[in-house]
Amino acid sequence: MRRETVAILLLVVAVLLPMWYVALHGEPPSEQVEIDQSVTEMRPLQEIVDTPEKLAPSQVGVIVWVALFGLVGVLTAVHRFMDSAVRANRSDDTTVTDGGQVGLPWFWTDDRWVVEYRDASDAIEGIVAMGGLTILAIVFATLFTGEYLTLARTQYFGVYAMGMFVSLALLTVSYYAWFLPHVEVAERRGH
Amino acid sequence: MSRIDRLADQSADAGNRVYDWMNARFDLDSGRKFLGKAFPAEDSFLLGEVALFCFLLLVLTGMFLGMFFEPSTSDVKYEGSVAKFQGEEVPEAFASVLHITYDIPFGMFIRRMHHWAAHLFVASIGLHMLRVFFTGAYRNPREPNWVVGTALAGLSMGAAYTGYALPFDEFAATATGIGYNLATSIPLVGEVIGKAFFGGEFPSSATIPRLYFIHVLIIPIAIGVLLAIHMMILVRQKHTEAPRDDDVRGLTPKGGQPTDGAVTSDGGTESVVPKEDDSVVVGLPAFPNQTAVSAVVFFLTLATVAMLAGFLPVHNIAEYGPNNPAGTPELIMPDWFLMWVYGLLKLLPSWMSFTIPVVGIHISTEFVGGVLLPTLVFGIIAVWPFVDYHDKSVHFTANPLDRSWQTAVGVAAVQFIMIASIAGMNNLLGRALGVGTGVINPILTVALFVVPIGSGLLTYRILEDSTEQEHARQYTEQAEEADDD
Repeated sequence: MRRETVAILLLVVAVLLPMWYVALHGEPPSEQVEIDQSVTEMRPLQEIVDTPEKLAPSQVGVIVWVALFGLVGVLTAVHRFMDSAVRANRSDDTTVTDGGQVGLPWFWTDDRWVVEYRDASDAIEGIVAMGGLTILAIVFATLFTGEYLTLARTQYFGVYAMGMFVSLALLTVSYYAWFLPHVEVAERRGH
Repeated sequence: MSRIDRLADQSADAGNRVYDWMNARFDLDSGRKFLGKAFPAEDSFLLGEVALFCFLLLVLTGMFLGMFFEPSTSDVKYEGSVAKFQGEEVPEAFASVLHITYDIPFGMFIRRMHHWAAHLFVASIGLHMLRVFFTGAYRNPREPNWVVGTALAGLSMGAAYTGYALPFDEFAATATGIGYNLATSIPLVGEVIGKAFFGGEFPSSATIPRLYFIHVLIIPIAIGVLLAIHMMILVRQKHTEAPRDDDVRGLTPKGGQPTDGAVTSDGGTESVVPKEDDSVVVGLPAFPNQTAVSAVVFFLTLATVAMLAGFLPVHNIAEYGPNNPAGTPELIMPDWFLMWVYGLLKLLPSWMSFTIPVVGIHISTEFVGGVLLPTLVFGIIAVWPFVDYHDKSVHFTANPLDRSWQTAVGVAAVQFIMIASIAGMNNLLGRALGVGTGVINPILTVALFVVPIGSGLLTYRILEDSTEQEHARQYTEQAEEADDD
C-alpha cells in the first residue's frame, strides 16, 4: 500500500474510531423481556450466546458498518478466488482462437466479441465440493424448517439461515470455479 | 421405444419447447443479446449489488410484516405473550408489532432481518457512493446516474425514517417527533408538509396510517422506479472499468472490423483492444458468468443479514414500551444515518433564529440545522459532477491518489459528517468523558470546521507532493535515458 494511502486512511480513522467509541456508549445492559409461556410455546429469546437485549441507533450504526466491511472483505476474497480458480492449473492457458465462435450465441454480436475463453476444468474436487455443500445446504434448510415447527428460537434461525446461505454461496462459487467456462467479452460502448 | 423412454425424451425437451412457446409470443430471441453485456470483474463494483439485494430483501420481508401489522394508534387490550404488557391498553400498532415479534414463528427473525437489511441498504448505498466519488466514476457521461443515485440515497433514508415510527413505541415516537418539528419548521409550507406527511399535529390518529402508506407504497415505488432508471442508464452507458494492465486480445467481432486485425494460424482473425482504449468495455458476460457472481453476492448478503438478525436486536420495542405523550425516554436519538443532522441541530446556536423583516417570515434554528443545511449537503452531492466537470467522456476509473483536490474534498466531507454525528451523540460523549454537553459543544463546533478543513488541506498537500515527486522521478528517468542514448 502506498504511503499516501496509509496517511489518508489514518486521517479518516482518526475521526472514525472516536465516533465509533462514542456511539458504542448507547444503551446500558437491560433485563430480558419475560414471555408468558402459558400463552405461547415458542422460545424466540432462547439463546446460544448471550447478546444485548436492546441496541441504541448509534450502536446499530457501528455494527452495520463493521458488518458491511466484513461482507465486502469476504466478497473480495471469494471474488478473487473465483477469478483465480478458473485460470489455475490449466494446460490450455491461452485464449481459444480457432477462427470460430466459442461460447453461447449471445456472447457475439456486431459490437461484442469474446476476448478470453477457457473451458471448465470439470475437476473431481469440484464434484466433491458441490456434493458436500448441497448436503450442507439441505441439512441447514431442514433444521431451519424444524425450528419453525418447534420452538422458533431466533438465534437458531440465524445460525441455520446463515449456514444455508453460506452453503448456497459456496455452492455457486464451486460451480463457477470448476464447471463454468471462464469467458470475458469486449463490447463497444457506443451502441 | 418404450413409453418410459418417450416420456424421458419429452421431459428432456420440455425446456426447449417452453422456450419456443414463449419465444413465439414474446420474441425472446431479440432480447438475448442483453445476456452478453460486459461486466468488469472489479471487487468494489459489487457494492451496488449489495444495495440492490438489500432492497429485494426489504420488499420480501416487508410483505411478511405487512400481513400482520396494524397501522392504527387506537388503544387495544394486549393479550399476547409479553408478560409486562398483558392486560394493558396499548396502541394497536404497538400490539401488532409485539404480536409479530413474540407470537409468530419467524416473526422476530423476519422483523430483525427487515431492520438490519434497511440499515445495510443505507450503509451499502453510502459506501457505493464513496467508491464512485473517490474513483471519479461519476464523470461525464455518468452525471445523470450520480444524481439518480443521490436521490436513491435520500429515499432510502426516508424509507428507514418512516418505518422507524411505525411500531409507535416510546423511543421511536419521540425520535419521529423531531422529524415532525423539522418538517413544520419550514417557512410557508411547513404546516402543509406536516399535514401531508404526518396527518397533522404529531402524534395524531392519522400519523401512523399516513407514515405507513408512505413507507409501504410511495417510497418503495419511487425507489423501484429510480433503481430501474439507474439500471437502464448503466446498461446503456456500460459499466466503468479499471485501467487495464495490458492490451486485450481476442477474436474479431462478428461482422465487424477488428481494432488491429491479424490473421491467426487457423484462418480466424484476431482483434486487439489497446489498453488505453476506453471506447470498448471488457468484462464477464451478464449470463452466465456475472449472474453466478451476483448469486454469490446475493447469498452472502442474505447470510450477513441472517447472522445479524439472529443474534442482535434492533429497535426492541418491548424494552421501550408504547408511546407515552407525557413521558420522555432516557435516550433520544435518530437512526445513525441521520445523526449528523441531529448534530447540526444540537450545535447551532439559538440566536440563529430570526424573522425576516417586512414579510414577517420566521426562520428557526430547527429549519436551518435540520432542513436547510442537510438540503444544502445533499444539493452539493447531487451537483458535484457538474462542479468536477469533464468535457470529454471518461470510462476508466481513476486512482484517488491522482485526484488531489477531489480526494481532499471527499476526505473533508466524510470527516464533516462524522464530527457532526459525534455532535449528535454529545450526551453519550459527555457521559463517556464525565463532563456536560455545555463543555463539549463549543469544542465540537470548532472541530466541525477546523478538522475537515485541516484534513482536506493535509490530504491535498500529501497528494500534490506525491505527484511532484512522481513527475521529478519521471523527468530524471527520461534525462538518464537521454544521456544513455
